[in-house]
Amino acid sequence: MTDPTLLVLASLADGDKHGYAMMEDIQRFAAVRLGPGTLYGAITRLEERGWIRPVNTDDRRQPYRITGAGREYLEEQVASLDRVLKTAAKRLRHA
Amino acid sequence: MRRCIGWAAYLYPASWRKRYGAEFDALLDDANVRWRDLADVLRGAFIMQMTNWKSYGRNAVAAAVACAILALAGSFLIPNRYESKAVMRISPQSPSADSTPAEVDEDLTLRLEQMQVQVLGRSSLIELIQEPPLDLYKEERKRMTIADVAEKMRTHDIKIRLYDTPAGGKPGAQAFEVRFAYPDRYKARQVVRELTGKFMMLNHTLAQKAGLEGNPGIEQFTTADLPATPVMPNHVAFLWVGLWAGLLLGLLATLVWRRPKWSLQMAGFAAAGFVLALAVAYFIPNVYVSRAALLIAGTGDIARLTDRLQEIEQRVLSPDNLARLIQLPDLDLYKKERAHMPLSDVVEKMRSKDLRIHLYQALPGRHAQAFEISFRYPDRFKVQAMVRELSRQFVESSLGNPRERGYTLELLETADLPQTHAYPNRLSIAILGAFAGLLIGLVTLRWRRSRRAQLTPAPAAA
Repeated sequence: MTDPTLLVLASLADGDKHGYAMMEDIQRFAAVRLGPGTLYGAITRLEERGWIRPVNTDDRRQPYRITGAGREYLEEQVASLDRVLKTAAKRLRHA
Repeated sequence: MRRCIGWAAYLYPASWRKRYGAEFDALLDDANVRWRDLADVLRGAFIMQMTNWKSYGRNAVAAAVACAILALAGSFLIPNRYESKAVMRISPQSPSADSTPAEVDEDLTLRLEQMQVQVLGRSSLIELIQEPPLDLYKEERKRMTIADVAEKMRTHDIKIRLYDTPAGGKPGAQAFEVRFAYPDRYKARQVVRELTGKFMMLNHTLAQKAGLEGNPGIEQFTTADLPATPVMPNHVAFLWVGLWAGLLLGLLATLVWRRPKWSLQMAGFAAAGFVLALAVAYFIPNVYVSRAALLIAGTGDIARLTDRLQEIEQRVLSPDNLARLIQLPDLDLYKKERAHMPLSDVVEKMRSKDLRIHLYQALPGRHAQAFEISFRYPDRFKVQAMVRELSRQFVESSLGNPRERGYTLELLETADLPQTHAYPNRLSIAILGAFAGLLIGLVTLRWRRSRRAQLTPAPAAA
């Protein structure tokens, strides 16, 4: 799974993070290194759709938080992926 | 590497940099950026620019399609205009045995010129417009003077086009078509009939004067047709205009939507320019123009006639004569100027700026030259009186035996009384003011932006 928007949402699912923290977290749990351009492209799209929002801070590093709509979307995507994975696994067992 | 990627980040849209620039820089400072990140940032900047401009393109295309459809639909609501046409042929009336073909052609063209100027003259067209069975341009006559309606009819709706000599025609004969476009096809045909009738009648009068009644000299080649299909509106042209107007409108609307504050400021500058220019324009006094048309005709070529015209012009428009006219009690022109300028300077100003002798473009031929006297002045009654006086002097200068002088000079159109002022065009001045306001706004806003950028400290690098 390499969709940057899903990776960012998954990273924010367990708490607020700024860009560099997201980049590190994603590399850790998905073994994918998002480049700065890709990461901020995803952040821009997610914020426009209202799935994440910036958290007030005085730091240059801007943390983001997943919104209710973002969490709902992530749950739908995870359920869908789960169904695909389970089906694929079942079929592989019976092959 | 970090510096290269920092520069590449400048390729992102300004609005994006304003929102994410500082935190993006912080990310670049924290992350151990690599060469491939440069490509990633460049790709990101490209995508963001495309996303930024995509809305302009999408809205412009949507507006263009919508406006094109509206314009096309609207074009079906515009009343049709039908064009009727008749073709006439003018041929030599009294070619003497020793006349050369060139002389015959000259005579022919002279007759045609004279007839055309008179048939399409202001008084002739006004008479036609007001004829009860025709009763043309009812709506236009409610908001325009009858003289302006006649001018519109002559310049926009009537077309006289000369053909080459038709095959099988008489030697030296010249064919020409008379066209008229109007929303009512029956009236369009009737007007063409009337115009061709006027040509015939005038030709008959001229022939009678010259004692040449035996030969018609002018005949109708084809009679006025009843047009079946309209020439206007041109639906394809409407579609194109709608398309381009929509494109511009879409771009403008997107600009306003995306940059409302900037658009509002620019609109403010434009409105201020418009109002200021309009206010200034109202301080400029109205200037009226009156015109009279005359025709000089003779036996010599056009160069000789022009020389004669210049002689008369020098006499009528001499400083002494103009000074006398200026001081006539009925006219009493340039009172303010005369109070602080010598009369000779006032005359010079009048001659160089306000008084014009304009030669009409002559039709092929070398025996006649139509010309116009026009005068501009803030008083519409005085402007007419002045042109009337000048045209009277031009005509009087030609009285006597035309054979001795070699030319005749006749008045085709008397001096008109202008109903509306010719200058200043206040709307144009105001629109120019709005454009100037836009330019000043652009420069001011850019200057303010660069000044703000200079005053704002750059975010500290980690």
